[in-house]
Amino acid sequence: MAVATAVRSPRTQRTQHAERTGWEVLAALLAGAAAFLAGTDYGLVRGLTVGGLVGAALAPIWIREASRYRGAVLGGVLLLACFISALALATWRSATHPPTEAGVLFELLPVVSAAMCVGALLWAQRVLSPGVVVCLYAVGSFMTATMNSRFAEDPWRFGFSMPSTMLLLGACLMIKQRPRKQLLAELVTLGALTGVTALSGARSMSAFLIMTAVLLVWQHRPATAKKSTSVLLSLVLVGALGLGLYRALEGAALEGYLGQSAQERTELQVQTAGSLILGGRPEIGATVALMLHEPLGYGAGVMATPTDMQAAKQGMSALGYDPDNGYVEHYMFGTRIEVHSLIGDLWIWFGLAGLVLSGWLLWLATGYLGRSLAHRTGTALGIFLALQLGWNLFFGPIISSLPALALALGVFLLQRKETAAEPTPSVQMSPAPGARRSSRGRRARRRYLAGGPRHA
Amino acid sequence: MDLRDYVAALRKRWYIVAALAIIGASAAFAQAHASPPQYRAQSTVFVSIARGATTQELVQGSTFTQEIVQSYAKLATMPVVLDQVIYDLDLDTTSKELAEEITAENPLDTVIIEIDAVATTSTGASDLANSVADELTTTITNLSPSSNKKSAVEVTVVARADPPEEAFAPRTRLAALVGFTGGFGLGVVIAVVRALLDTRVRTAAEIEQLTDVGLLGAIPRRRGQRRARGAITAIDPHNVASEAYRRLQTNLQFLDASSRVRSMVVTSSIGGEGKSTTSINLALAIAEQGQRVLLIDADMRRPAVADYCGLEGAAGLTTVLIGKVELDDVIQVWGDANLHVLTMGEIPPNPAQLIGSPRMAALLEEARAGYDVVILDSPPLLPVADGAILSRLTDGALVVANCRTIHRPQVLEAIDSLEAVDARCLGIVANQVRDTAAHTYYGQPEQSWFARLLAAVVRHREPRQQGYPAAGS
Repeated sequence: MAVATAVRSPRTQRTQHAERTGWEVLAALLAGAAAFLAGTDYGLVRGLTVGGLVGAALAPIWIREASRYRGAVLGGVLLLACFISALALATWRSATHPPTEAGVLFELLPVVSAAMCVGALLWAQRVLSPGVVVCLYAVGSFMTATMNSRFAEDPWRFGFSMPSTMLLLGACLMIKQRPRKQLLAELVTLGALTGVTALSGARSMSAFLIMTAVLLVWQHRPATAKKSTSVLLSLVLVGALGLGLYRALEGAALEGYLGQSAQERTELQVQTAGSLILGGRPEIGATVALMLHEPLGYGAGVMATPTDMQAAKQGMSALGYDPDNGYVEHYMFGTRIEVHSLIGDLWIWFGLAGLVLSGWLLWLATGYLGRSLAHRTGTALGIFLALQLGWNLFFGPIISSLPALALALGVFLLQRKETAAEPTPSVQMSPAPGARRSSRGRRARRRYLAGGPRHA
Repeated sequence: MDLRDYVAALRKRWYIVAALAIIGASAAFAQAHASPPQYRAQSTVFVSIARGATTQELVQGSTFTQEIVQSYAKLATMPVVLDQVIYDLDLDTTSKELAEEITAENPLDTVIIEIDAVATTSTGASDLANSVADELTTTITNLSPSSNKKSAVEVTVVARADPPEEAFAPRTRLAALVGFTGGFGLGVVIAVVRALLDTRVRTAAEIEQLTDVGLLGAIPRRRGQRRARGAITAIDPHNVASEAYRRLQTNLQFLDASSRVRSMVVTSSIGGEGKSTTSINLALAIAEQGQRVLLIDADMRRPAVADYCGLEGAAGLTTVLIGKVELDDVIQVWGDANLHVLTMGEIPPNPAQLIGSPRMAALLEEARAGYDVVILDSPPLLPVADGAILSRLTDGALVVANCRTIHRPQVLEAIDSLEAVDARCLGIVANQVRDTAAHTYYGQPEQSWFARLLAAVVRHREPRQQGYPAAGS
């Protein structure tokens, strides 16, 4: 460590610069690697991902940065409560529902990995920039896009659609200096993506892309006397738009505009349960039935007993779905309980704490959408991910929702506190020696003495 | 903790990380090595309907088999099968224990039952799998509905288990890797936690980050030398430390352009941080510049200047304060003709009163009138108030912080104590800073043990830089 040799303020600029660049380069490299690896979502063992491992290794660095985001501490506490609740529930139910060790890890580790990725992304976007981080994340997710079990069935729908969306919209984030150009680029990208996605017959994905485009345009509506609209009004708009789009897409799919496969699937789903959503996601019936059956949730690694399965099947058949098939036996209840919605899975695995956590996620997603539309601050990818999170909370299985959730939380949904708590840079000019310290300095000192951040 | 602190924490306690990683890997390896090998063998059973005269019967039979095959799979781990297996193979176990070693699965939409058996020997595993398959066949035949004394369900062992060539467990390499990773992670956690809990100031840069008071100088510590006590500036003018004191003197000159600092207190947070050494050497460095300097030992608790300078200490500051003698009578010239020293004299019973007395203020006025710079060596700030009181009587205080012993809160508290009495803190002097190449440029090159070893082998040492004329001579 070089020792400062002169009065601090006139420290030679060159030395200072050279010294900082080395560490900055290293930090940037680490941040880039963390974002890339978080994107790969490459599983190591029992749901632990490489990105999660790297995020954990970088935890001492990002923890302080993460705590500067509004709600991040609450999220951390909720997550911790979830783990305690999951283990407590599993222990409590062990007499009737023996948990498997592998199942416990399989349910806890992916969530831990995702949380570590979120922390690393929060730090990385400060070191680099949100656009670069998103692009690196997207490049990472391209690497493992082909590993989806249904990739061969439709490479775009089950492989490249999400990474491409993230990469292209992430690249648009980098044109931040020119808002008009950025908007244009985002709209063109969204148009192209919607075209390809609709042709591949992915209905919900097309809906998100169209909704994002509409909300983006609405955000840039001509300014009236009142520059911002109310958050509530914005959310009502999102809801109405979603409903309208749902009806329109259902009609389009039934008419065959989204391809034959989408038409057949839609017809079948509408036929089985009378509605596209209930027919497409009969697991909702199982979720509701299980919630009524065991209101406190199940716990980590817990297997369903025949009674639970019976209750779930009854819930599903109430929707007009025939649950006596291999899918329900093997995939929903074969190795653990999976009900294919973030809220349901979080509730089953983590109990009531999981419900609170999903409530917090929903709050963040709606908060982001409301804020963006009311104050015209949203970005295309942010809006897209928030919409998708809202969908996944109700209709997306937890494991496949986690990567997008990590990116949404790590880059868009959490808001940084840009207040006086901002750390004073280490190369500040010192006040005249002996001058009375400012109240901020004194506060920082007191906090320091109480064991707070060192550079405060 | 930023990236730098993190790397520093890992570098500092790398041995903990390394040791725990090695311990983890060895323990896991030993544990895996000691555990018995486990072999897995698989046999497959096919369940079908015995007869079906018409297509309709065949379809019904097929539906029946598909519905019942899962129950048949469950039979494989039940006493009805396993008791017989234990009897056949003459095993020393119970059916409940044996059930743990057997898994029977029915792949989705098939009428096949796959039986996996785990045992400690290769043949044991295959025998067990085959025996379970055989017994399952018999049991299913017995249990299934029959017509004309012939079972309606036909069960055939379609693939008999072969003795596996390799054990699937223990996987020693994987275990060692997991142990290594676990130990490594634990080591990192310990290193980080210890770094967070360790509030000691290590480097001058840390002091700089700690407070908004300027860092005026950094006095290096020399390797292999516990302390550079005394008047190093006079004894070895080309020493790294001597240069550092000269730099401190220069920085003090540039501290305030409007009003020059003409009197200062050299103090510290706690004792033993190098106040006296700093004040003596700073006085010498200022005297070198041709200014008249008076060094006063105002530490009435543990006076050290007389001792360090080898001067007569019987009469001094206290003698003047109680009015026994005049200031000029007890001032001694030391080293440079420009440097005068006033030692402490007798240790008084009431130091605080003496220091706060009007006589002390008058004495300082007199000294300031007669000299260009007056330096007071004072007691530390945290234990006693003398230093803070003296600081108010002078232009300000110079706080010495020993990088080897001081903790961050102590430095902050010391500066706060100065501010509390509205005294001016001129700046901080970091003492005992780890020597680096930057500071050996004009001094004796300091080399690491590795560099010394390398130099001894290669025998290509630079000549020692000594014998330069003293600055200002």
